[in-house]
Amino acid sequence: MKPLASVLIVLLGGGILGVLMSTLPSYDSSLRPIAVHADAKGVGQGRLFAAELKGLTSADAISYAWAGTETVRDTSATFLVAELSVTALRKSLMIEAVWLGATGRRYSQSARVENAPRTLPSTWFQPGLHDTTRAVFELPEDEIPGGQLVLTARGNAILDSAVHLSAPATPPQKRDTLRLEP
Amino acid sequence: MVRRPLRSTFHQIRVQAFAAIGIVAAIAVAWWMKVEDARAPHAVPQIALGEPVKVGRAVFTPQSLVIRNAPPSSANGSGRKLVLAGQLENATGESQVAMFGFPEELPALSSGGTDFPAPTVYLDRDNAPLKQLQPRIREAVSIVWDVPESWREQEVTVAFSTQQFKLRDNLYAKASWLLFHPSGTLRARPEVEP
Repeated sequence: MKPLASVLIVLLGGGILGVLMSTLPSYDSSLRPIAVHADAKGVGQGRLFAAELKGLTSADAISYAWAGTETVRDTSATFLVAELSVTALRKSLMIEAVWLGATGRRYSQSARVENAPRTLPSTWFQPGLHDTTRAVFELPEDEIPGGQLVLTARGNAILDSAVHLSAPATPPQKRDTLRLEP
Repeated sequence: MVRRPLRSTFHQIRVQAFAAIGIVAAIAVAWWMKVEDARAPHAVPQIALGEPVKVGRAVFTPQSLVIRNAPPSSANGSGRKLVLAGQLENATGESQVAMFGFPEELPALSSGGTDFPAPTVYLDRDNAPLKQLQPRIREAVSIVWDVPESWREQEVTVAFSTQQFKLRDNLYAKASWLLFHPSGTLRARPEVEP
């Protein structure tokens, strides 16, 4: 009887360990940023900044001038341009944006238009000052409806707030070529 | 002298034998796994033009291999470039700046014992170096090598390697990109572009 009890205890211990392992939250889910969704007015307020999505426009091509040179970028998918209003709350900061597509894929801002004027990667936000900026993404068109714009302070956003701004229910206006002005 | 009951001695021997068998079995299995790993070399698949191959964190489908005359981009370049053109697709669920893994492992070119410099990868659409690859968007790219003066046209070998992804690593149970391993080899004779 005693050996049987020992075997049962070992099996029970193994089972408990298995349950603990399978239900343990992963490192990434434990330390990811804390999602903050926009309020009824469309303003998402994080720990370090507040942001509002002013509008979305999609385009087959983007054009802009940089250092006296005209640049045109086309795509086999679509460009999505998000116009934003941002206010830093506590300190000067820069912001990173990701488009969380309808399929769950994460689209970073397009590096192909990194020199375009008034885009997020080149903008500093100062405490108490409202500023407008834009984020440009390159993505398949079906990632836009049901997607979300996710904003975090640049740097390590672990356990910091990530502001989620949902896309409007109506698809954004689409243009052949969108000119990005300063 | 204390006499131990025969039954107790048998019980003790049985427990010790059971533990010893377990230890020996664990050692034998671990040893055999290592032997098996060393015994069967992982044959790197040969690929042809038009066949997809994993590279870093993407999938590359080579479509053409040509020698193109162009101005040399370095002092010891001959003005000829070897261009491997194809389609590159992000194999992950997020935008990638490390298409060829991190640290970057670009395709390795070998031919006739010549040392080739590391290639540059261009996004054909912009005719500019490729900086980023978005999920679900296949892009036409060109992998371009400067060809040394001494090299004569002949068959070349391009070796591709891919980076292993592990959803929960052994240290933190964190999603990680780990080691590289060879994923395919392309042997072809480049065409000379007029």
